[in-house]
Amino acid sequence: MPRADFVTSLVLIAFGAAMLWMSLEMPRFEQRNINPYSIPGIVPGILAGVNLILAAVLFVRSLARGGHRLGGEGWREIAFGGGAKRLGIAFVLTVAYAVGLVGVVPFWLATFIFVAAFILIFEWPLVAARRRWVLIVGALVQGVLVSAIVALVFQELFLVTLP
Amino acid sequence: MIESFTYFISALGEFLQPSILIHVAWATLLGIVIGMLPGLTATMGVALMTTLTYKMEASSAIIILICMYVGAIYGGSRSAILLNIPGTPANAATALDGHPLAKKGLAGRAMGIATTGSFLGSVIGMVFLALFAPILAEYALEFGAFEFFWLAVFGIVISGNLTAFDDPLKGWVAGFLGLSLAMVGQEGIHAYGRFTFGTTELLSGFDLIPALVGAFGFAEVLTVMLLPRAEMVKSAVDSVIPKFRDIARYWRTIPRSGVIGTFIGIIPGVGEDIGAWVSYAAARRKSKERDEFGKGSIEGLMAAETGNSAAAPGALIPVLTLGIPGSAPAAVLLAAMVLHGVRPGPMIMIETPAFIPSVVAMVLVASMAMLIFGIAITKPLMFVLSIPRERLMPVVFVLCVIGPYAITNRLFDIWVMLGFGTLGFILRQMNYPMAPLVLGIVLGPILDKSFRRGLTLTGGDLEPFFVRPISAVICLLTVLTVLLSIGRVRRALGIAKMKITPRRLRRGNAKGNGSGDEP
Repeated sequence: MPRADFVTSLVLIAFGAAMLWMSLEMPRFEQRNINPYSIPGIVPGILAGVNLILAAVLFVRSLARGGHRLGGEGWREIAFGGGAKRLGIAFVLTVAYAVGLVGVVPFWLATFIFVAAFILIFEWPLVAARRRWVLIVGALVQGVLVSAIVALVFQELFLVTLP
Repeated sequence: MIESFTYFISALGEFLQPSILIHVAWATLLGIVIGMLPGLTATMGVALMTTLTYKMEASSAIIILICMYVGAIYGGSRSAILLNIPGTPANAATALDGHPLAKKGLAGRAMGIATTGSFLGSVIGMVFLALFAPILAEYALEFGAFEFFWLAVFGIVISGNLTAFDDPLKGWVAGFLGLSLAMVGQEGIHAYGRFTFGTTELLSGFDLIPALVGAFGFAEVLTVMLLPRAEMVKSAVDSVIPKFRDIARYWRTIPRSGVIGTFIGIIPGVGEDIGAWVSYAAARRKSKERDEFGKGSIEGLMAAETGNSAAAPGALIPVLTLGIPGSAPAAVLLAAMVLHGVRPGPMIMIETPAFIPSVVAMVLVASMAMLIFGIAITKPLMFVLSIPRERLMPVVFVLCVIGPYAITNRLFDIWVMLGFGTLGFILRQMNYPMAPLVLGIVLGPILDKSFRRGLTLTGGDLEPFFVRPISAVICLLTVLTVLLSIGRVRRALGIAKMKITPRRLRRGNAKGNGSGDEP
């Protein structure tokens, strides 16, 4: 954790510094003759300062715990362990659905493709070769059912507009 | 008081109509199912339901959301007992004793205890909601910009402190990150667009619902896919009907846990999970069977479930009276109430005096429905837990996409959900709590407006922030919370106390402690 804290503290310092700079750059509306204590940048500036202080404490603490010594076997395990592979696939599939499919193709089609693909990709290695046709049929049926039920319940019953 | 009671009775009569009872039944049952399913939390359930009920009449929509909230917090106990995976973060303490009981073949008894504890916890929380909320609302009328500023700061500090007990620094980082993210978009005084990078989408800032669905829905999907598969206890389930002797034997645990849970719920941003842990710890300290805790203690299970369920109505108290959420699901409820035209805050008892008694009646109806479903439906609910995650998670994610889109019809809100989900997942992996982040998003605009209004009123003089009585008290509490969570200060105080206390008294105390509670 000290290594993660070290990296996080650097990111937070960069975030705090950028926020502080942008707050100072915000207009003061002198020409509008507004009260100088109500300018838009005042609270973001203070928050940026607090973020910087908290990040600095995290930085110093992670240094004291040896967090700056980056590298080693731990990273390899995090990046290539079994859980990470599942996580990576899930992340790619979900983002591809939400950004690449929704709003591009009709919602029911996007949902059908996503649900069926998700089940097929994750269950494929868990099923014996001769039982895979059952998996394919099951994934397609669930894809059809989910997209149909979601479209029906949300659009017809709750009058929600779908993407 | 009599007037409030009349409103309560009339609301109860209204909610017992068949059309409302149908809503109560399906929403509570769905809440239990959502709570049971790892990957779907109470926050996600209430957020999703907010989008579904957006076009309904206000009272029907809010009762559905409260049923969802109460049902989900209870439902999480089922997966905690049977799978050893808390269905919602609120049920983490439940798993400690619930799962060992299930492994001993006592899953039914454990579920019965969880049901009783949850029902009684909700009822205790409801009583406090009925008694305290009107008093607090009246008191909050004296709050001005200075007090609301300190309340926002205190909320972030205490929430950061209690939700990341081992490392408050991470809680504060999360809280101030939430406050910073709330600064995005048009500010409330001059309508200047801050941190918008020239985009029109960012002008309205980050809406709470997409952010919450991301942090509690999408992040949860990723977490479930990361973790190894869970095995359900397959032993035959004994009777789930609660035994009177279990309740009678631990009669002190229930009110104690209920009171603790409610008060933890009242603290801004500190919700059901901490309510359960604190109740559990208190029960363990006072118990005669503390060695059994963690190995299948009925008392531990009862304390955890009473504590988390009492925290839910507790968390509604600051929502209704101050417009500040006591927990993450309560933050969604707050947003939902505003969407439906209710203005929670100090003026609530003046503008809509019937609303608080009506919410009390909603909690009672939801608790009754939870009790009935908890006892009557066991086997079908167990089937829900056997659905493999590979089949369930894509459906959860589809709901995560629809939820944020449904209210504003903007694809941008789906991207906000993805962004907050990814951020939430990374932060959670590094032990940063999510509750202060969410609270920060809610409190950001309050903090911003209160500070600038306060300064404008005083012409830049900071003194009223520190000398007005209520401001001074909240400021002092904030400083004390920060100081006491710094290890060095705590140690220095310990040494100072040792020096001040006469040696004779110290010896006496040591003897007392020796025969005392700590294992």
